[in-house]
Amino acid sequence: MKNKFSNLEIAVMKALLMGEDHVLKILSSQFKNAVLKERKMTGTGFFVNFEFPSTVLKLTPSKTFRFGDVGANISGLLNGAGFLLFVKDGLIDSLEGYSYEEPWPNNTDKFEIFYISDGKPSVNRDLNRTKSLDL
Amino acid sequence: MVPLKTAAQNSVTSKGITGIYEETVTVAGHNVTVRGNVVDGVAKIGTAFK
Repeated sequence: MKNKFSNLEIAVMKALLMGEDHVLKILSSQFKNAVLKERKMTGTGFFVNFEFPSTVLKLTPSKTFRFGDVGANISGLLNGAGFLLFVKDGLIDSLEGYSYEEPWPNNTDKFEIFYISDGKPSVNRDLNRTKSLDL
Repeated sequence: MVPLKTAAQNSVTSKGITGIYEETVTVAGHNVTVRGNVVDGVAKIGTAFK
């Protein structure tokens, strides 16, 4: 599975890119064409880098930003995990997953995704707040 | 110099933050955004970036 996105990575990306928003729709279309370029494990998390065909649609005007209002409960982590998506020059660049000072589990097949709203897990996403802070 | 973890702990303690947090703290003259989770009153760090 080293050259494929894990189920956790796919679920996190889908949650991050879900919503009625022009920017999210373009980023979602990018992810549908994405190939895993590299995964680096940090011990307490990971970085995944993406690559795309040259024809992929970029955000215009070109933007560089990061956002991440998605968390996960993962078997093997007592305090859950957080995620950050980095967008560089209008194109998805990398996804960071991190624990809260716990060793990242070898197996992340058992997980539950949630949105983070006002510091608390939430079923629903406050997209307006996310947009005001990040996008 | 105030270590990142101390700065994060001071910030969440002073604001009474519980649960998942994102705070901007000053470390060695640089503003650093810290994301973490307060567990039993302790500010655990997830990631940090400038």
